[in-house]
Amino acid sequence: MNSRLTKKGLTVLTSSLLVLALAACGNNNNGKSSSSPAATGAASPSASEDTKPITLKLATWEQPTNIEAFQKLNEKFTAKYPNITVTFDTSKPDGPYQTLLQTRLNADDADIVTSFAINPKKDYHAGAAVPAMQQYIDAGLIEDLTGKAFLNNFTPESLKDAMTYNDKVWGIDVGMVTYTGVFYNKELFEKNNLKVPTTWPELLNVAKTLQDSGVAPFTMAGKDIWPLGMAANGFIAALEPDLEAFDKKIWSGEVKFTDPVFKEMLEKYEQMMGYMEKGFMGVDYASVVGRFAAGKAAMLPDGMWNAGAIAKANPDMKFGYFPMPVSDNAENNKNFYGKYDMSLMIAAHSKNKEAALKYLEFFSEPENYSEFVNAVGFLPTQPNVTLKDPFLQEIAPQASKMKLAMDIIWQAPQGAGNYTSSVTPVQLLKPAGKETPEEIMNNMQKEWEKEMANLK
Amino acid sequence: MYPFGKSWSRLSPYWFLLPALLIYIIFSFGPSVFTIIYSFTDITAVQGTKWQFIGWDNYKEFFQSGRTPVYYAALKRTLIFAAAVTGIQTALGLFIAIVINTKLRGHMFFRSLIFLPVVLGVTVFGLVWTLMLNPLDGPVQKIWELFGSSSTFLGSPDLAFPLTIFIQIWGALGYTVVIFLAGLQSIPGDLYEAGRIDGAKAWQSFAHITWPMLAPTVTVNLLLAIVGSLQTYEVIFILTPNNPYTSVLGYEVYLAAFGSNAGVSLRQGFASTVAVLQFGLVLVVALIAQFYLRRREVQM
Repeated sequence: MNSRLTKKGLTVLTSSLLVLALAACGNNNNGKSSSSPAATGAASPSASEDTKPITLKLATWEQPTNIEAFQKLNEKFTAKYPNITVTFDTSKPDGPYQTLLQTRLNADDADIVTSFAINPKKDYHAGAAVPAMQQYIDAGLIEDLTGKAFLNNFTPESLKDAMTYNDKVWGIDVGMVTYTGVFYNKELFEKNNLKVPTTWPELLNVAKTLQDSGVAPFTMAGKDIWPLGMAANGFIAALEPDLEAFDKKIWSGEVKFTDPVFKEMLEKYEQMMGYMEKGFMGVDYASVVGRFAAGKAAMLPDGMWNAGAIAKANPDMKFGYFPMPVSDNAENNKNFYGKYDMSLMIAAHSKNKEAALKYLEFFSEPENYSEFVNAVGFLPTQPNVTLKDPFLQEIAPQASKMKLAMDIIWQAPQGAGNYTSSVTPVQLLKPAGKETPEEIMNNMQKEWEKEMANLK
Repeated sequence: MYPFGKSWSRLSPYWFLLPALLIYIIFSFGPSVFTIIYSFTDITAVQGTKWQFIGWDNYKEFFQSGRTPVYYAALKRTLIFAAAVTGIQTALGLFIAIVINTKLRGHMFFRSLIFLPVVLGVTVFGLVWTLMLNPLDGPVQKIWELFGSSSTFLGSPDLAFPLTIFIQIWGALGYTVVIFLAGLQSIPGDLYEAGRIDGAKAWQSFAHITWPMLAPTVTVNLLLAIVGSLQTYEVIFILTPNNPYTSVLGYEVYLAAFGSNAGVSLRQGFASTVAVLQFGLVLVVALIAQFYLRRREVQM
């Protein structure tokens, strides 16, 4: 009886070991089968590099216009290089995409990846967390593209500002976007005899007139929180036009968060929120365009990328885009601020680097680039692009001179809390949050001092 | 008497256990131990980056950095969340289970209906409630307006958190109900019969038969609810992402590990620290709860 049990036990054990061993064999076989075509390819002289079928994996985020533009480009690319097909690997934007990018790069399971500009931290950002893109490059996961001929198709500024780190160029940047502007409904403005405001008092006047006529002056996607912070970039930039110097001064302690500039920024933001449509804190980003396009509110502070969505939601609508005029001085309100948007990079561990380089080269050809950038609606980073979209044509002269926004320049200290993760924590302001400008300023300074003390 | 014989054959039961044990060690116990080890490092989610042991620095950051008030607020919210969810979900679950355990017309339909959110999962019912609570033209706002009131619901700094609690209970209630139903059905019918003969009223038969007989089920439900709600982050992630007034500990772990926030990006080491502290909290609360619940079972 006992010996039978032991035997049974051994049988179970051996069979489970067998399963493990088989699984291991399976892996070996897989490894062999995947490497065998390459081996035969190398052995037989007839199969050259150009006919070996290659699949390029492109990791990017789900954004209908982007995906459509890529699909068109990929078709053309495959027509030129019939042996290379490009497949997508996508997720939702932001957080989920960060996860996708991280897992694919770590697993060597991507050939071409998309991201934004690198924005490495600067020397004076002593205690700041290292931005993700900088970590990937430091870890050797991104291919160095310095000196590649196709880079010359792009403006030197875009390569320098967006894609250079450690004096090397790591990718190409597709275009710029600004998000410190305000969409406005031209018909509603005309109906109330309103002009585009160029100073803060003018803006308040416009808002008041609209409100008196029964139209909500502003709407925004408050529920998602981040659109509030994004618009705040326009506030700090108009009050403090040299943002890089400002950033340096904050880190050196020369500027304090209790200084009048923060008070003015927060108080003006509070004033603007007072003119929002009722319930804006429950509106999410997906529906805010519909609110504006349906004429429920006359102005929408938002990124320029939503122009296409507005036109799609209401093709008859006439709308424009002006820089948020936060300063009392019209001179300071002329600029747009924003960031370099989508960039393309090659994974350093890609097995199809040659093909990936061909793809970037193809992408950079002025004709293909022009088609792509027109489709996604960025401000181009190649010279001599003819913009087809009337909205882009209208704003391009002013917006092409765009400067980097504060949230791109700012690097938060590693242990930053709710107050200094950005220098514009407007989400804590009533009614979005629970605090007054004075409370926020004091808390910002307190948190900052704590962080700086921890660094020592 | 040990039934497996002497010398080597004594080991035979352990051979049977070995495959399961290996799987447990590789996929569950091992990673847990590594989480504790990682909590003392500055490891990031980026492969190939140098990392090192940094002692208690991560723990110091949790308790002494600029973000500490955020963590304390998240901790407080986690406890409130757990208490509210556990209490209400268990009480309501028991009530509903007793109601649909009767030979009510269509009780099978109600059972399926109540269990439905569990099947749908948090993402789906999170989206459903986002639509329900849309402050501009959602159905709940329409009802609110009948009473001459209005709110931004999930966008309101005061209301957002209670709403996530409500939605979590709504979504997980079916699970509690099903466990209670199983417990109720295992109570022998003759006990009630005997009670009726002795003249027990409905309330008396609940207090003296159902409740004591259900003690083990109550324990299971309470523990599951406590452990589950202390670790929650999905419902917060779906309903109110980035909202500084609804963050809980589990969400802070997510932010540190996967968030793209400038201050906290891809920091697996620090995320492990928060996870270890969260584990400590769950362990202490669950142990205390289990101690009292088991004692209560014995007393009854």
